[in-house]
Amino acid sequence: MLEVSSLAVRYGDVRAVKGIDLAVGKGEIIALVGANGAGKSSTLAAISGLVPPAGGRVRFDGEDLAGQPAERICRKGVVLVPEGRRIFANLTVAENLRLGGAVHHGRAAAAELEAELLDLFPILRDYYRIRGGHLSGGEQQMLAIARAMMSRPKLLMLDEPSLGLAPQLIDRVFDMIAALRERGVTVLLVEQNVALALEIADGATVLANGEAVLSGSAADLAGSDLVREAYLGA
Amino acid sequence: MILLQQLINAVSLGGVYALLALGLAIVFSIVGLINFAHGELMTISGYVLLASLAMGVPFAASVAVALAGAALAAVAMERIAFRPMRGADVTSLLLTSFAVSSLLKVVFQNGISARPQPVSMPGWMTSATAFGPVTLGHGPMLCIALSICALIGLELFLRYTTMGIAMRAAAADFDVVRLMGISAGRIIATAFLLSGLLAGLAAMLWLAQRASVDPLMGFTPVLKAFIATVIGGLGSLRGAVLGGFLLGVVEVLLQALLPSDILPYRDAIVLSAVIAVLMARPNGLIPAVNAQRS
Ligand SMILES: Nc1ncnc2c1ncn2[C@@H]1O[C@H](COP(=O)(O)OP(=O)(O)O)[C@@H](O)[C@H]1O
Ligand SMILES: [Mg+2]
Repeated sequence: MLEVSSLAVRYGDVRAVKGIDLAVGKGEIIALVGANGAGKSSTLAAISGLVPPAGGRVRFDGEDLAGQPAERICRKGVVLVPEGRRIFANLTVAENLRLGGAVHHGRAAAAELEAELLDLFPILRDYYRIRGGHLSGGEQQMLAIARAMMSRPKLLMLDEPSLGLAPQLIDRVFDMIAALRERGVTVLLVEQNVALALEIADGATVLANGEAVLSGSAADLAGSDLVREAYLGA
Repeated sequence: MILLQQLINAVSLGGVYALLALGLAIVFSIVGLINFAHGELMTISGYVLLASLAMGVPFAASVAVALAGAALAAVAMERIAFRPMRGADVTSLLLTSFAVSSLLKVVFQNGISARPQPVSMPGWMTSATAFGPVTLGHGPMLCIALSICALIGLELFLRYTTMGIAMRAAAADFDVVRLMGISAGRIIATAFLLSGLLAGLAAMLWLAQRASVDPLMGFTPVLKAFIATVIGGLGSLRGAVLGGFLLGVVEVLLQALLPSDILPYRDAIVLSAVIAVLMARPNGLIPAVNAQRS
């Protein structure tokens, strides 16, 4: 479904991503893990069109997305839930969701999808008319995911959904991600919490200093010495 | 009774400032640009009205043409002058808008005339009605009514349409709005279109009471509108409206109430008050939600 090859990202002289390869198959959850500053967010930013890639290709369903503007990439079905959630704090939950579904024409379809998502995230129904800024971190993460789901993504990219959340909330967010997979959504998941990511993912790639140092099935990586020493603290 | 008349004049002037300040604030909140050429949009609208009336188009239709002219001019300005500068720093944008403003003024002076051109407004607009002891001008009352209608219309647009909600969101976090698949170009074009419409309406209300167009017509009111946006909080729409009304009311009331030997210092007094407001509240009376570009 998604095939990234030799993707590079630079910020001026900083080479944040130095030509990585990555593949995500339909219906899979693929994790992209690595230390802070490894280039995970930059990779997602380049795939989503927020920053133009300095090189490489991003093939999605056979088409090269590299260099296209973010709004067009979203409409192709590749949708990013950015790091730090970035919900619109001054807008209500309802308005946040409405913008998520803005790419669709036809009110009825959007309303139906919204009702399904509110069933999946009941807390958002309770807070429907509340401003996003008043929600807790976990609730904001639910809102950010639901907002992205409103555009009916084929590939959902989540950047550190567990960041700053209490442990039991992290579990809830990961349950949600598993529930999304049941609904047929393909997920590219960026996480610093490697143990948790490998538990839910089918495959994973480890990034270090902008390079892919290891990649394989989640089970293989969880058993590899490098991952166990560097990231699982074993 | 004189006071009531003065109050109506004050609110009507405040309404014009509020419309202009709102146009500046909408553009600033979305692209981080202080558009110095906003006054020229007002002037363009005046000349379009003049031309349309000269061609024998009925008054109401001419007003519609003049509003559309200002809106289109604003969109064209963005396309031609500001879009190529997208991503540039605040100073470059500021200089660009300054250049556009100066260029247009020269075009008006040399292409049309440096002298004021009279606009024949319908008689009912420049006349007045007596309510018992009070005589109220139609121009100022129309001005108040239309300003309020425009403010309500804009509020409804921003609150209930997807594009309006997207504009409020873009003022806080433009990148994420793009991540939702909403075109950045369309949001920016809409911001300029609205600012142009508001400038056009302000021009019509300004002309209703002055009845002549000249190349510098937009200069003074837009200068006041800049001050209003700063008092209100740069980039804050509610702040711009509040600042506009406040400035208009204070100006007219000082004009009416100050003894004649202090009157020449009116603008100095107003500006001192502005400075005092900013010392107490550096981000304005109603700070913008997210002053990410300042
Ligand atoms: N906007 C930016 N400008 C300059 N450097 C950046 C920017 N964003 C990220 N970087 C740098 O790029 C590298 C990778 O960052 P990032 O992709 O955010 O890593 P991760 O998400 O894995 O923590 C880091 O060295 C970071 O400092
Ligand atoms: Mg990151």
